[in-house]
This record gives sequence, C-alpha cells and structure tokens, in this order.
Amino acid sequence: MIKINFIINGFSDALHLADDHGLTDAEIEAMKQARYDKWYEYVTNPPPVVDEPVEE
Amino acid sequence: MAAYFWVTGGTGNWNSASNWALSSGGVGGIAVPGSGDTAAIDANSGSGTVTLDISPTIQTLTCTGFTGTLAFGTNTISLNSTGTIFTGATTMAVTGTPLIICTNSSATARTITPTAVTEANSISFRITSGTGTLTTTAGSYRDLDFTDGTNPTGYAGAINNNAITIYGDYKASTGMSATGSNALTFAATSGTKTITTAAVVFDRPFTFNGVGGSWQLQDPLTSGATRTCTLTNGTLDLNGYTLTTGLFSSNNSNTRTLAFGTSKIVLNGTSGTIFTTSTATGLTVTGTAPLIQATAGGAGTRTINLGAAGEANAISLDVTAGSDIISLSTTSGAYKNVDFTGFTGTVSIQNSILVFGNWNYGGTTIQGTGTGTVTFSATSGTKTITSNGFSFPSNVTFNGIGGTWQLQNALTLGSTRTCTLTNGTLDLNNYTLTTGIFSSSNSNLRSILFVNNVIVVTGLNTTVHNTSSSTNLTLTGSKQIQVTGVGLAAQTRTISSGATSSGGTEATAFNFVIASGADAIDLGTTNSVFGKIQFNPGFTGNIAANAFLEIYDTLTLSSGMTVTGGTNAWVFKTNTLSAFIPTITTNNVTINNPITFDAIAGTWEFVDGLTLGLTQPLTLTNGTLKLAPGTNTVGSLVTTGTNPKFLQSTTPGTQATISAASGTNTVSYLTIQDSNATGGAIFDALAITNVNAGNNTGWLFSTTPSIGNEITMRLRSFTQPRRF
Repeated sequence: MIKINFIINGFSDALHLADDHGLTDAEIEAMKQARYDKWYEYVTNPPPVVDEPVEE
Repeated sequence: MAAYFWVTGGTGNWNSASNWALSSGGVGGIAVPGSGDTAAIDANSGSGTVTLDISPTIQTLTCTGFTGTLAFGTNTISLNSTGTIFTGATTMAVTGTPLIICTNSSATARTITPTAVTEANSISFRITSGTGTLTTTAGSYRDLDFTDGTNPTGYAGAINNNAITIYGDYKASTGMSATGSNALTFAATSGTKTITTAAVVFDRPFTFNGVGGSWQLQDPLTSGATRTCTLTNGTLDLNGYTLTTGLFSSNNSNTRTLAFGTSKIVLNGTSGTIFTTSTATGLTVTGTAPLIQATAGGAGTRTINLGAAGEANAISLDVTAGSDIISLSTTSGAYKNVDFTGFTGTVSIQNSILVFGNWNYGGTTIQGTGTGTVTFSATSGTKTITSNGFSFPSNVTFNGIGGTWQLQNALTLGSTRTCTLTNGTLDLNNYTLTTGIFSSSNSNLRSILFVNNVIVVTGLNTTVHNTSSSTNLTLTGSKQIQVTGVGLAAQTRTISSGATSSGGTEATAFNFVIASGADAIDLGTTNSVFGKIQFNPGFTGNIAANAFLEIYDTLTLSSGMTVTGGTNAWVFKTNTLSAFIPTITTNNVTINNPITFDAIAGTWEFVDGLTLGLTQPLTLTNGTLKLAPGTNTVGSLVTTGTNPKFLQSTTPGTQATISAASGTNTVSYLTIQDSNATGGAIFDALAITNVNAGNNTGWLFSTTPSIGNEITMRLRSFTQPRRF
C-alpha cells in the first residue's frame, strides 16, 4: 500500500493505493481532483441529512 | 436370531446366561445374547445393575422402562444391525465409560434413540461405517464419533435433521453429511470437549450451552449461511481455527467466553442480525486479535450488534464484500478495529458505538446513514482513521485517556454532525478535518495536533466551535478553524472559544477564518481568546452584539460586514508564538466596541484606517501601536498603567491621523511619533511621562520641566527617549 498526499486549494488529503495499482499519473491526478471536487461539493452544498429512527 | 431379555431383578454380569430370558419378565438361564441376537433390558428387568464384564456384540439394544443401572466399566457394546439399533431410557442410570459402537456397514438406515437422559447418564456412540441414513433421535448423547476410531473415515451417510444434545466430544468423518434447521446443542457442564469436523460442512445451527462447559475446535467449523451459531453458556474455544457460520449470537447475561486465540469468526449470512452480543453482560472475549469477518452481502441489511463489553472484550470487524447495508448497532457496542475494505454498500450507524482500534473505510466509495456516534475510545497506542473520501454519517467523538488517533487522510463528517475531543490526542497529521461542529470543552488532558492543515466547520445556525473550557488543552501547528457554509441573514453561528476564566490562553487560542455567509457570527460575550480572526470577502454578515475578545494575532474584517458592537472590549495581546507583527485590517468597517492594546513589548500595525464607534475608546496599556497613515477615528484615546507605550505611524516619517470629535484625551507614559491629533477633541500629552518623539501635530506637550523636577527624578535606563 502506498500513500499519496496532496493538497488542492487548502484541502489536504491522501490517496491510499495498492503497490501494484497500475494507474497512470493522469489517472492519479484525476482521482485527486475527484476527491477534492467531492469534498468541495459536500462543504458548499451539503446533502440533506436523513436521520433514521434509533433501533436497538 | 433370538431376542433376549434381562431377567427380573437380575443383578450381575452381562456374560452370565442366568441373567437372560427369552421373554420380558421371563425365566433366565437361557444364554448370553450374541452377535445374531437382540437384547432388551426393560421395565421387567427391575432396578438392579447390569454389569458389562465383556464387550458384547449384538444386533440391537432396547432399554425402555429399565430403572436400574447399566454399568459399562471400560467395556463397550457393539450393535451390528440396522433399523432402531438402540433405545435408551430416562429411568435408567449408566456408569463407567459408556460407549456403544454401531458397526453395520450397509446402506440401510439406522436409528438411535437415547431419549433425553441427563449428562451423567448419557451414552457415547461411535458409528464406524455404513452409508445409510442415520437418525439420531432428539435426545441426549455423550460423545458422537463418526469415525472408525482411528482414521477420519467411518460413517459416510447423511444424518437426519433432529435437535440433539451432545454432552461430550463430536467427531465427524470425512464422508458424512449433516443438513437441517434443528440445532446441535453442546451442553457439557465440565471439562473441555472437542469438536472435529473433518472438513465437513455442517449446514446446521450450533448451540453451546453448558454452565461450566468448554468446547474446543480441532479443525475449522463451517455451517451454512442461514444457520446460527449460539453461545449461551460456557467457553467456545476456536483454538486457532476459523468458525464459519451464517449468523452468530451470544446475547444473554450468562457467564461465557468466546476464545478466539489467533483465529476468527467468518459470517457468511447475507441478511439479518449476523452477529449479536447485544447483551454482553457476563461475556469475556480472549485472543490476540479477536475478529469477525462479514463476507457475503445480499440485498437487504446485515446488522452487527456488538455489545457493551468494554475495551478488553472488544472485537474487530472486517466487512469484506457486499453492496447492501451494514448496520452497526447497540449502544456502547465495543469494536476494536473496523475495516470496510471490499465493501461498496451503505454503512448505517444508528446508535453510539465504541471503537478501541483503527477505522478504515477501504478504498471504495460507500455511503452512510445514521444518527449515532462513533466514539474512538482507545486508551493507549496510536490508532489510525482512514476515510478514503467517505463521509462519516455519524457524530465522531475521541474519548480515551492516553489514546491517540491519527488521520491517514482527510476526515469528513456531515454538516449536522459533531466532532468532539473529550480525552486523548487527535493527530490531524496535516489532513483536513471537516465537520459540522467541532467541540472540545472540558478540563481533561487532550491535544489537537495540526501541521499546516485546518479544521473546516460547516454547521449552520448553531454553535460550530466550542472550546469554551480549554483547561488542559494543548494545540500545535496552524490551529486554524475554517468556518464555511453560507449562513443566512436570520441565522447565527456561534464560536465559543476558550474563556480566559477557563483555560483560555494564547496557547489555546485557535485561528478562525470565516469564509462566507450573511448571518451573525457570535464570538461570545465572555472574555475569550482568539488567535487570528479573519473574515473573508465572502462574509457579509455581522459580529453579534457585545463580543468580548482577547486577540493574539491578526484581525481582518471584510468590507461587507458590520460589527454590532457593545461595551465589552476587544483586547489585543502579544503574539509570543510567532515572530511576525499582528496586523489589523478593518476594510472600513466600524468597530463598535472598545479596543485595547495590552502587551509589554507587543506591536500592532493597522493596514488601513480605524473607525471606532462614536463613544468607543481606544486604550493603550502596553506596547507599540502603529496606525495607518490617513484618518483613524476613535471615540476617545486612553492610556492606562505606568509602563512605557508608544503611538506611531506604520510609515515612519508620515503622520497617521487620530481623530476624536470631543472631550479631552489625556495620555501618560506615551511616546508619540508621526501623529496628527485632530477632530475637535483635546489631545493632552502634558504629563511629563509622555515623550514627543517628533513629527507630531495637534498634541499638547509640556515644556521643559522645571529645575526642581530634574532634581527629584532618579536615573533609569530607557530604550526610548524620555523627557527630563
């Protein structure tokens, strides 16, 4: 397992990939951007929270 | 073939012809039953003892109604026929090492009916051969051995589906099969019993229920995906072998132990409560790394109810497959490590669970629901949290005295969820933590380790940050809280930073960046500490009334915002934790609070003009205040204390104007340079403790002191000019 740290616009995250992931640099960059985009969307437009009844 | 009956009141050895008759209650003395005969010891045989002085071979044995004792000693009885080969009786007793060996090798069915005898009167059976169906009638057995006694081969047929109780060992043969919905119940109450499956899949429920009993696997035990393994009483010792079952249940208050050793329980059930120790009272878990592994997802929900067993009895969970819902339930359920690598469904956390180890969401995208709280509760070592882009659906709390949790990548919680640090060390490891609310308000020993990263709070219309009680809180690194979210005009986001009365110091002061919103930001009305306070241009709301601030770093207001104001002061203190000089940028926003500068050797620089409310004073108690060239409007200018203080311009040689509309502003112990005092008020610097350091206008300075004053002053060392 390898860890690739990255920072986009102040968002600090890391990808954890298998040693033999076989991804190209472009694919890895796309994964970073996708991770940031998902986070940014989550922060700026949080999804509605559907709270479930508590069950024991 | 003949049918022999133990004589009435017969007492004596099996191998005595005098004890055998040809009819029930008949006259003895016929012969000892042989391999072609059947034997019966029945109600007419009385209550005496039948002593096995040999190991006889007969076709069948019936004990119905017998009220005496069958004394095996070390001998055995071999039954070589088919059909109902043995019928026991609850009325009789057995002694010795009772073993009946079933030797028929045909494909014809056999039935064993031991009846529901007690553990003490149970009999062991060994079925050494045969391929016919074996009906083990509901009742009690001691050992059940399906081998030839030496090799793992032996009986090779199918065992019927009856619920039976086993008080001894269970030993399967390689060629047998066992399928059915009725449970095999292991019920020994002493000693360690063994279970050997010979790689046979027992598609049967298993129940372990014996007070004081212990069962030890001798090889892997595998049952079907719809079957339940139940531990009710006693110790289930996996002994290094994997137990595979559809569902596992140990939900009671009895004394029981689940001994994993170095092995695990694989749960291949596809729906329902696949694991429950919901009521964990009396449960002990042992082993080097107790692990349950959920390996097969269906279309519904798999529920895991680990009970409130505490850290010592916590169990790790791996969910390795499935795209369904995994529900982690039971309040205070004790989990060790939780790993979802391979799972692609939805994680539901409906109650508050405790996690004493690591958390890993794996490498795939999964969803989450639930209102519960995941409380990381380790009390030693460093535990890791790997999110891989997954947002925690629940609240997250860190609460373990001596525990440390280190992020392995960004951690994100929902905008209505709270991240709480109660005890221990939260090592952000330079990754972004995003949460609706961040809270750490208590007096426990705890630390938050930033590097250059930030905590992002996204909550709206609520207290988004609370460290109001900061006693015993340690911060390192950037200490920055980024307040995002677009609050609406009628809403309020509260930031409860450390109160100076409750551990709030420069060291526990967070830096806050308010990124956006049109709402009110309530910074608190009790004296609270702040590092940097920065309102970005995207913020157009206001600072709620009467904020009471102690600011150790830069203050930046945004041009579209307002300060509601009040009588509480904003006190600027020194920044001793970094070398740079704090700046104040007002962006033409009027500050409707008193402001005070109070730090020996502190320096503050205004980036632009200052405008205070009409009645709000600027108080200089200690340090050097550098106003920006241009007009700075104050309600009044006040100095306090007897320490030297300095009023300067940020551009040496260029005056900074200080303007007050009315009244007299009397200062003392103030060295003034590059200052233009104006606006209509009187700026009185006549006290001899003041110094005109040059390029000042509008100030009243005293003339050269009288000779008498010179005589009475003592020699001192000064770093700045003084008037003598």
